[in-house]
Amino acid sequence: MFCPETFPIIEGHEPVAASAVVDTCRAVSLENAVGVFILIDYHANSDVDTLCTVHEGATAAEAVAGTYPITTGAEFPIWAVAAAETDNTWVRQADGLNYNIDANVITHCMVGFYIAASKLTNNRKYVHLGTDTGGTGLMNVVYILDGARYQQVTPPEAIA
Amino acid sequence: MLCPETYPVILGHEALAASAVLATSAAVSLENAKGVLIVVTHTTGDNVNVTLTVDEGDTAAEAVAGTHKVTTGAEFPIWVTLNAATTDVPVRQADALTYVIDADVLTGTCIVFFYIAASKLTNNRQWVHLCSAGAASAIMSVHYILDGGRYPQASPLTAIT
Repeated sequence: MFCPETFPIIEGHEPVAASAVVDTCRAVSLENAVGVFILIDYHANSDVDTLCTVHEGATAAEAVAGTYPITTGAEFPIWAVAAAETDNTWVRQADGLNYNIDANVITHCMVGFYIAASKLTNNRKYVHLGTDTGGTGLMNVVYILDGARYQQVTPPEAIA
Repeated sequence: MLCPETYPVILGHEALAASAVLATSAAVSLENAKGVLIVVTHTTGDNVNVTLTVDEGDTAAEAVAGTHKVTTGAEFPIWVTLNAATTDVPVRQADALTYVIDADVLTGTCIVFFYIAASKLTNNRQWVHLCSAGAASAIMSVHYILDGGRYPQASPLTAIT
């Protein structure tokens, strides 16, 4: 069953104006997961583009600080739905390092990034969605962990 | 890999004031899925509660119309992350048919999860719809994530040619 017990779902940022989101999303650790799907939805309301990037860090604070954007060689899969109020077809984009939500093109859009833990730099297990500028459009960010495993040092017992 | 190709993600309602969302979320069909996880993100704005329920229907329009609530006997699993800005632990609630986001209790942000199994729907009502009530100024958004989506064609896809 797809539920928060099997795929942890974490709020990256509650829905507020994109101008209030700018680089203030929370960070998540991929220490106990195969990767994370970052889901962004955006309700266009002004003619201001929003560039979405991903930062990594050894700590949550370092990831949020944006010191280390995920960079060349670690391009990640990107999907987008440009008019999500009428369409549910995700369009795979070229693997890249960012996605620009073009306020001239989209109305209500969803953007998805998949960040594999294996693509992160050694010892930088935290990732954080970075956004710039931001208009008055409302934006919402959710992280969904993929392949989460037991968090104990020892695997849980299953036969006793 | 968890991605929209394996778990279709559908926008139920873009982030807007709860007073604008009400019963206007989109409906989704579970004809080709085992179930759906409904994810409601909510940011408190005023002291008005928001009540969440689920409607079913044999068409998208019927589900959105709210004629048929998912009702007694089909209680579904519910989880809530009460202070989603500071915790990521969803708390399992008793199976039920509704959840009330209490504006006196939830003063920050929260995420509410409903899992609707296709097998719990009434025969021939494969569409489901998240309905909210409570004209609050709180900002909320709704996403559907299909679980166990299968081929939508009449015939299974070939895997050997």
